[in-house]
Amino acid sequence: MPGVTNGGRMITAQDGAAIRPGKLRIFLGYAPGVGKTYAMLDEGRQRLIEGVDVVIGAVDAEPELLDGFEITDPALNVEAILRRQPQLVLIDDLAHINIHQDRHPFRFQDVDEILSAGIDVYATVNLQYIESLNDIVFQITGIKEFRTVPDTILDRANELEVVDLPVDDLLKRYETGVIPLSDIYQRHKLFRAGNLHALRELALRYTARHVDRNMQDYMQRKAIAGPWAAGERLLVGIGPSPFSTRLIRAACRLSQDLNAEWHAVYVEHSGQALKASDHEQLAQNMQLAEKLGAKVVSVPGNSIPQTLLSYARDHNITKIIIGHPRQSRLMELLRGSIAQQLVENSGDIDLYVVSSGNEAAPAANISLPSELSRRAVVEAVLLIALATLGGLLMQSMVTSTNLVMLYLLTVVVVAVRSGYGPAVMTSFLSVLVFNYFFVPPQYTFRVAEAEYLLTFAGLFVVGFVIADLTGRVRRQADVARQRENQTAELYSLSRDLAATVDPQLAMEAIINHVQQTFHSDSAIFLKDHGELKLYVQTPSYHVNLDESEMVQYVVDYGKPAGAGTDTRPLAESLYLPLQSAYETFGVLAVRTSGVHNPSQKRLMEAFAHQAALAIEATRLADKAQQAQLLKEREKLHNTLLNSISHDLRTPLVSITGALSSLRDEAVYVDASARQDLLEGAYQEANRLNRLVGNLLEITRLQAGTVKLNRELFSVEEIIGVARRQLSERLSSRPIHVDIADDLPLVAVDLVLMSQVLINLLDNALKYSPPEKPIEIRSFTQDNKLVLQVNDYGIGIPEDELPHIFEKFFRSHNTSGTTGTGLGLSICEGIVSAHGGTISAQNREAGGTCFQIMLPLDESDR
Amino acid sequence: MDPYVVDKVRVLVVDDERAVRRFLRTSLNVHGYDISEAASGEDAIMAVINEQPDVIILDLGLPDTSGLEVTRRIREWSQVPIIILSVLDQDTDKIEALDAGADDYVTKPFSVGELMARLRVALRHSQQPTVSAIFTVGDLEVDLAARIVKVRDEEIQLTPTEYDLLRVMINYAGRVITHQQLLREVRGVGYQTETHLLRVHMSNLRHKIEDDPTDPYYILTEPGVGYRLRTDD
Repeated sequence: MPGVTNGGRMITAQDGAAIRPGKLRIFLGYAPGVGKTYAMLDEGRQRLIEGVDVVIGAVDAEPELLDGFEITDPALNVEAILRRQPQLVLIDDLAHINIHQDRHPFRFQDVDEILSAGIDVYATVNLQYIESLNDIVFQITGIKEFRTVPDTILDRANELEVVDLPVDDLLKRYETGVIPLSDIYQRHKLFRAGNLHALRELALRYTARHVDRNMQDYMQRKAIAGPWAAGERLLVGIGPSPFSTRLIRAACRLSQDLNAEWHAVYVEHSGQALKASDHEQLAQNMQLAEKLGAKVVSVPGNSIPQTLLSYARDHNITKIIIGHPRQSRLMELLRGSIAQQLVENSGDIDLYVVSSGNEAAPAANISLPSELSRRAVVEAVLLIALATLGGLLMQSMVTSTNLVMLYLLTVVVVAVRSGYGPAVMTSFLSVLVFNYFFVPPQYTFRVAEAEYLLTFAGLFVVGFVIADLTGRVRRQADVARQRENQTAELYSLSRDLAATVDPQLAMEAIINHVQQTFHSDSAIFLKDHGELKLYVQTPSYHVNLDESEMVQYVVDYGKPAGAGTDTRPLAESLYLPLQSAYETFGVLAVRTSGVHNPSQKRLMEAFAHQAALAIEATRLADKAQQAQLLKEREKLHNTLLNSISHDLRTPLVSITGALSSLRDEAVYVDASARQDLLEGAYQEANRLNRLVGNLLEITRLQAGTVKLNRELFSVEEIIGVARRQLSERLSSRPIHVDIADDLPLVAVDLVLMSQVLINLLDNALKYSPPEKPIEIRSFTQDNKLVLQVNDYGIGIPEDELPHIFEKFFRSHNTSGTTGTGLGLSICEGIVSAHGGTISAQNREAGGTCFQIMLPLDESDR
Repeated sequence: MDPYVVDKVRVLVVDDERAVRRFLRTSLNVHGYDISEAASGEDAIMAVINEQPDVIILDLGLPDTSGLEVTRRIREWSQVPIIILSVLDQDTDKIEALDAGADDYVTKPFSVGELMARLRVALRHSQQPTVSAIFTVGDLEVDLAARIVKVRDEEIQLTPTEYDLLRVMINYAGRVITHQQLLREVRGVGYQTETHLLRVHMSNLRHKIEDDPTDPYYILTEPGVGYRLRTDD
């Protein structure tokens, strides 16, 4: 959709949330007293009767008129309304300025936020407050309104209704005092019949145009062919001059008439050094353009016309609007006016030049004193004195006209060292001094021969030109250096960020860079499970009380807030959203110190962008990893549940069975059967105990809460403990122990390491025939202690070997015996906690060899 | 009937699990012991004062004060034997309780036979604190007066430290002795950190008196706690 509405839509689209924005109905009055508020309340009451949930946001009216309505708060309280979530809110006077700046400086911003939350709004506004009509109303009434409502908000209105009243009736209301007019209006008798007629017509015309545009939008949306101008695009060149506001309004009106999108472009001219006041004016101009729906950009460039034209060509601009500020003829002759240059090169792009009228050319251009630092002046005076001294010494040898060269040299030196202002001063002084000391009659300011006037003029003009040229070169160099610094900063930030995978480190890198580049404290807030948390901050960044609200706002709406923005511009910090492709997931808060020029703000935004990318990347990596972990844990839990439900129940079945028959049928059970039942139950209870022990052990190993209590033990001692634990089951087995003589002590947790050996021996007992021996061997190899348990059993299928240490893995060969499949994974967990390895292989002679390798510390020997 | 039980021996069972108390009451009654019960640390201390039991079976995990704390408080004024009941992951508490003066421990779940053996040893120790000059178990014979050690009637040459280790363990025969206690009694206070030296000496001692040091018969390792010298029971 082209046209200003584009701008309006852009803002709502940025609001991010999937909520459908609320509908806006505006009641427009052409003058105070036509009955806007009354009309709005009337409509509101109708809705109330229809059953709509209506509340009053802020209405200034007689209390009896508000009967039956729910009032949230006498003043407009956006937060209360958002909490209350009504269907419709009535709000008087869109142009109201929030003096206490509860949330936004302007009421229309409050309305915007309420609409974004999906709540319908009825609002009123007077004609004279509409931004684009502002200066027309001024021309009619002669009064300048400073509080204005941007046209974008009116464009957003789904319905614009003129509350009309014949002028005579309105005047009658004024006369009878039904409507009290404020003093200022009364004094100036602004609302005379003639004025009121003009305003009424303006209101009707404005509304008609609005309706017309809505119609066109509708036709376009529905793809109905219609008489709209296709593809018109406007560009307005703006600058740090108050005059630009007129230009911007003009461009806005033109764009509305053409239903064209428009760009407001500021050329950041390298030859233009802006003062703080210029920065402020420029920022105001840019804000104004943005409010009126323009796409605002700032483009760096050496030549204003060239840059504007190349931007225009790149963006298919069809019309360029520029101002024609009054400048001196001399300047125009020297440089050629911007308009002239544009005309010469614009080709098929139409050019509109708006004259500056009575407004004076910005006085800012003549700004020499600001550049004259005391040091520069002293230096210039000393240099002139030096040149004069030199001149006096050479006076006898050189003709006085050639002595001028000394002064030119001085001007060049001053220009290079101190810039434009001091250089101009130097050339002026030089003329005076030269006149006084060297032009006859000497030591007077009088000039005897007219030809010297030429010398003066030459000296002055050449000095002036040199000053201008060198000054320009200096500024260019300054701008270039600044840009280079910024690029370098961005580059080093992205380089640092590329090297980090840890989100915490990435964030620390970001705030460090912000600190270095802007000398500002900063902090990063991130959404974490729907809640905003402070993740990192520079040491001296102290979180303010109201900060969380601001941060929440930025995340909710996805646009910057705080210092220098539309929302709470007086806040201490600037809050920039950290956005991924899908959402705003955090906020970079920067304590800005004072005014920020556009380029600095741009750099800050670039920082936030880089930061968002980096944090997003690390968080994605983190998320993927966590998802993987979660998956594994889930798998473990599932298998654990299976294991508990099956493997733990089986022994319980035998135990309960045996005990119940002993209790209930004791008389029928003879002595040997009783012994049998008891033995079975006892063994099953033991097995249950082992299973529970294994489950506990694996859970602890898994959770990483196992703390090794490592001390030096001999291998014999480990084996001894294991054998004693299994003594009952091992008593009928041949055990061959083969231990090298010179085995060193090894630092292990005896309880855990003997558990490993117990599990391995238990496996060997289970999976090898009862008559076959079990071998335990131990020796050293490559500064490692090797401990082997060999059996002559069934072995493990080759394809299962890589998996046998996995949790709950059970070999197909073991079907028929019971177990949780935890024993070996416990072994693996314990051995690796000791920094060792465990492996299994099938022996050539048959059976399995389990081998543990533990690192030996040389000093343990 | 236990030969050492002359009068009925009074046992105080301290455990917060009703099922455990019930099973102990039944089993110990069968063996002719007189049982009283306490379910918390405070109750236990009151019971020790009021009922003067001959031996205490004390669970480490009590709802109010820990078994370790109860042990410490009882030991301030009483030498009544204390046998600790513990589960596997209470190693540290168990050792601290033993070092604080508990006599022995059994790990849950335990067999009644195991508990009875511990009880008997603890009672014997409290009732007959002096040991005879000759100690025998299996094929091992130690003449404490002559400082002669024999296995299957063959004299074994021990270093002074090895002999001291054996002698101290004979004092504790049948009961667990922690590394700390052993070191303190053999080397004196201040040497309690030399546990690895202790193990080297113990290994040497085993090589001299055991048939198979990888499956010791006389000197048993209580993993994580200490050692226990076997007795003929």
